[in-house]
Amino acid sequence: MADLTVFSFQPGSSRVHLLDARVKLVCTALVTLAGVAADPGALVALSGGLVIMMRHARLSVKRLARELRLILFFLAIVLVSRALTTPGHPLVAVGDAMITREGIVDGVLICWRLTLVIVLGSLLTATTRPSAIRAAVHWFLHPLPLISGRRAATMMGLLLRFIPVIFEQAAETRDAQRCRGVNLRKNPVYRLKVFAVPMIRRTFEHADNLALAMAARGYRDDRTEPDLTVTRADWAAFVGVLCLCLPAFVSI
Amino acid sequence: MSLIEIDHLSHRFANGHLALDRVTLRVEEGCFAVIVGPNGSGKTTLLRHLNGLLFPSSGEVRVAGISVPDNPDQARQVVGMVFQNADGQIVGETVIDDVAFGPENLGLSRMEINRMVRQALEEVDLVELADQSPYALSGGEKRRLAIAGVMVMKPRVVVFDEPFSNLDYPGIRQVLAQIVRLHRNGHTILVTTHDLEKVIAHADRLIMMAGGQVVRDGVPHEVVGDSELFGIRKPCAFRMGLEVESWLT
Repeated sequence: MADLTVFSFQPGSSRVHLLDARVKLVCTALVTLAGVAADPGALVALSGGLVIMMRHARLSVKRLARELRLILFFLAIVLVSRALTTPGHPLVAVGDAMITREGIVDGVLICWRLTLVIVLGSLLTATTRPSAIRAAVHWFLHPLPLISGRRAATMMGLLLRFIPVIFEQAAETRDAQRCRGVNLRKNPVYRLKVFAVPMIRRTFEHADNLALAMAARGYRDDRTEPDLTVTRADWAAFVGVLCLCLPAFVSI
Repeated sequence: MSLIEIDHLSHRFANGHLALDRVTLRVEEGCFAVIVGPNGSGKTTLLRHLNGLLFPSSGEVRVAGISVPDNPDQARQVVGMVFQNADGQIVGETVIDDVAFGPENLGLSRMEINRMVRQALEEVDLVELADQSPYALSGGEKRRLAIAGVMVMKPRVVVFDEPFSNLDYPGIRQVLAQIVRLHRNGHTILVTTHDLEKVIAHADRLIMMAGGQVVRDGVPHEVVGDSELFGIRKPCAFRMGLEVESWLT
């Protein structure tokens, strides 16, 4: 049985779950933009709002934190590179480079913003059926010329569907390689190579099988989409999110 | 006219391997046929020609009078296929979304889709798990979900590619019970396997394949005696001269 990730849809009947997917997409975009522009005070407000919504949707903050450890390495690189490259008051010398106070503050803010965006994405995917996200993407894209809204929406739906599969395959590949002593090899490039090659091959094989299964079940672009309806609750949620984001936009 | 008509079907893959070699076959409506053969004998390749996932290098394939290469979309509504790897067949992020995939492709109304999906989930006893992620299901449940995803399209023929692989005993019984129920409801059933033991009691026809050819074809008890000539273990009951028992009893 595959481990579910926090990026998978988790059924529920909370107000966050029941909101229209289009409204949730717009709110996600708004909070993302606000997060990018926000000063520390506004970031605290946005993060607080996000935690409240997660708890209301009965999503486990602890579990999310546990799964986000996978991106800690990436965040650490961001933090260190900002700390070393931002001019300001020197704190510690590292060879010829200098860690600055401004660099650390800047790095922490960027990591905070990135984490906010990732958590926001997980809130969206965990509380919205992928078919509804697909329909919402199609609704937004269909007026645009030169872009096949349905195809783009299908690709997005499949991307969401693949996330838990890729996580599971990564865990299997990692376990199989641990059993064969890959931990004894100290060269990270070698370890990355022997991990990535079978992972990518299996992902492509899986994609081929999925394409066959879709063809066998008569896939076509002009499919029936889920019904989308905006209610008063959706408008209220939109206005609430807008109010939450306003301080960040005002601080620009 | 037979429901499935295959005439001199050959299939050669791009790497030059001849997977099917002049296969000719007729399958009547309501038949429960088991296609048996060792790995690489051409069983899966043959099935994939029935709903246009592969097209013949030469020869003809017709289902319900429809030429599959000319009309694959129509053929897919006649022939539903349950794949060997149920995980690879799952398209939706929830059980209900996955079953709805086929009817959505037919462009039906949402109300009609919901009705069909509900009925298909009831048939395979998965209504309680409708909002679950397919990845949280057991092996047997995943296979039943794959069956629901096919049944919702109301096909006349259901083909199962190695339906019992990687399943435990309860999972095998669940899937076998579904297959037998479909047959009782009038569907034509084709099952590929390399393990006759589990399904032979329910089959009324046994087709053996080896090297891309049909090497034996007939009533199971008449042809099963030759199975070990082609790398297929003879079921235990036949070895011991006993009556074949269903795995469902």
